[in-house]
Amino acid sequence: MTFEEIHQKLVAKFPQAVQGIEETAPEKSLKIHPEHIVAVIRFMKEEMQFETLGDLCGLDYPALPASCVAYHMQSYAHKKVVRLKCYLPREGASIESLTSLFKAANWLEREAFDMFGIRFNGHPELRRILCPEDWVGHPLRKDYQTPDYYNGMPVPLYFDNQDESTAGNAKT
Amino acid sequence: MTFTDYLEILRDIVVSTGKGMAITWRTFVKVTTKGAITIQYPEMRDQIPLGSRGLLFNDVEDCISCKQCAAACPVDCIHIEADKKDATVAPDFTKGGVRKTLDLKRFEIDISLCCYCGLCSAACPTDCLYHTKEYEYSVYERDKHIMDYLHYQR
Amino acid sequence: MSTTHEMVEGHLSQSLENLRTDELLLNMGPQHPSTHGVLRVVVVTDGEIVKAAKPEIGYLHRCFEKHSENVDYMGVAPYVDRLDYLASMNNAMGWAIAVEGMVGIEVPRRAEFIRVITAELQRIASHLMSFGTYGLDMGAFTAFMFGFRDREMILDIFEMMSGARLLYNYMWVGGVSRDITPEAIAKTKSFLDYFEPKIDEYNDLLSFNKIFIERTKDVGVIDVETCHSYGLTGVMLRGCGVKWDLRKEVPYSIYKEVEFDVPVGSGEMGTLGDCWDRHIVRMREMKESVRIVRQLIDNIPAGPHRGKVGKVVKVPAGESFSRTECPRGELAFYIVSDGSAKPFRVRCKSPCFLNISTLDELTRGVMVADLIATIGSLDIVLGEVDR
Repeated sequence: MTFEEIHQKLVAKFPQAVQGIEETAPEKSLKIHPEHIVAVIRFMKEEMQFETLGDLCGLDYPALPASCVAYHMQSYAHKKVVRLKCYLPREGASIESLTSLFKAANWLEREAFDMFGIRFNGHPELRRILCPEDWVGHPLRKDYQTPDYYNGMPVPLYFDNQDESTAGNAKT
Repeated sequence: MTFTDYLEILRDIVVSTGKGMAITWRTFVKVTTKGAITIQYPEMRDQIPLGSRGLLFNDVEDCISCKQCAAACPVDCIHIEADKKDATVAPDFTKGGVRKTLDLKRFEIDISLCCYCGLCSAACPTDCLYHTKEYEYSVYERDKHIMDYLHYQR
Repeated sequence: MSTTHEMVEGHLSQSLENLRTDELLLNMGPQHPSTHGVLRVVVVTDGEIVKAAKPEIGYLHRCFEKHSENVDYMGVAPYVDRLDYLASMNNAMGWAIAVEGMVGIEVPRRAEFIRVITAELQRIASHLMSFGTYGLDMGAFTAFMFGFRDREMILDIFEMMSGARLLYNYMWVGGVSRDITPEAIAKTKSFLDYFEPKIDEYNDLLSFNKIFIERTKDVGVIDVETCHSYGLTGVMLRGCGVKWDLRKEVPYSIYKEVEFDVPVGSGEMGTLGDCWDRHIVRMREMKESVRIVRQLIDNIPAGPHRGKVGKVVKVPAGESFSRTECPRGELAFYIVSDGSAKPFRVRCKSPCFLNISTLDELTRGVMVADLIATIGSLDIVLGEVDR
């Protein structure tokens, strides 16, 4: 099953949901309307043999501006991975949770929430997973500023070299 | 579970554990007759293979201050400062015959940040920055891990 | 008038009714020898029965994804090594393949051979570690010592090849950092000759020990449905009988040309997909890895060990999701590039992260000792869980 066939099949089933193909070489991605994402993924899981949620992650595009959730649907029958992308508003992004379809979505969505602040409606326990519970901000957003202090402890900034002696590779 | 089942499991446990113990004892005999595998560390040292990545060393005589190592470093632990060389002074060359156009003012590596990835020594065009086999350099103060290669003494 | 027996019975039942039982909240970790790192599990126990086991992760979070947005593509490689620090070579290979796929770099055949040889040796080393620590969890100390002894030999070979013992930074984009030396080849061959009979010895020592079997069979059983729902891959999936190995199904590098079998669990000792099945799959995979290295080590073609790559790797704008088979499952890197020298976004889909998320479901209603057996059989590395 090629990417075009998958696209056509999805368009035939969900004409409003599929917003087009994103030409992201070397692999293409499908743009899906956020409102229909659960229906599309349920259809892929039940009818098109994409059994597994390979990955779910957030992205942050400050230039667009948009937040994005990328789903990688993995199929053992077709030996294929298809990427679906949902663009959301950058502030207060929220999308329907996939926990009803895949148990893997539980932790992956928690991580996306932790790192990007994307809210997943219907998630059983949407709380931080990698950062501490009382951490402020969502670290992987491009506008994230590392705090100077965390609970009274100074946060070390080894790489914030203001002098020009280093090439300034890692500035976090 | 009947009593015979219980006895059977017990027999299996004794037999399979005996098999394992035989292996352990064989190894024990082999090791004790052949001599110890471990070495007494501070008195004896293992041979470090050629090309092992230990403490970084920069031969400042050969350094042309190109800053390629600092650019390659993923943790930014190399600090280099260099000025334009005075035109009136006679030209200076490295051992490889590359002309030094910059005057090296500062070459410091914070060894406590270094991750020994070897990207800097691979990027060095004159091969003056390299990993030595040195691996024992614990110090009492953290500042002593900032290696100043212009005033290097150890 | 009641008999003494009835009086005692009545007294007992009364006291049993009044007996106050409580659920106990047990905190296991983050510093605990059998959590394989800094994993914290909050266990709700009713006596010896586990009611719920919630893993709390993040104690080893090192911001890999944030760091990699701030260094160039070559500079990410040392960070990648530190994800799964027991299988650095496999991780680095995954990263190198991901970047090469985006740029379109041709890797020389010699480099591909060296890569597969080192990756398979690393797989053996990683499984040896798993074998040893699993033995330790089950109360067998000798297995731990034996596993470490043989892993040490592989680390010696890697030190000769790459210059480091644990975090090699050996697989660079476009090839490998150094050429393989004849001494390293000779040492690898002698290691294979030494190691192959040892696997059977280890099976006798631990895998077919009755005490070990009794502790691990019918424990932590997972079925295919749940595996797919949790997105589990690698040994977890093969342990419940699914013959899926990326090296075989979607071959990358030169895995197409080598012959090997994919061992799967069959429920020999108990239920299909239990802890023992996962353990034996790892032991059998070591044998297959030895087979792969044997096929390659004598036929390394001549040529360069690194393709033509500039000092700075220029990646065109685009997105790529590339998977490789690591000892713990499918490691995938999702790279988003905007055409600049540094990646726009790097996402690491780690197999251990999903493996450990199953813990709550696998251990509901089992004994506390079985919880330890289950955590050990998941073979997690917290460096990869927390990234």
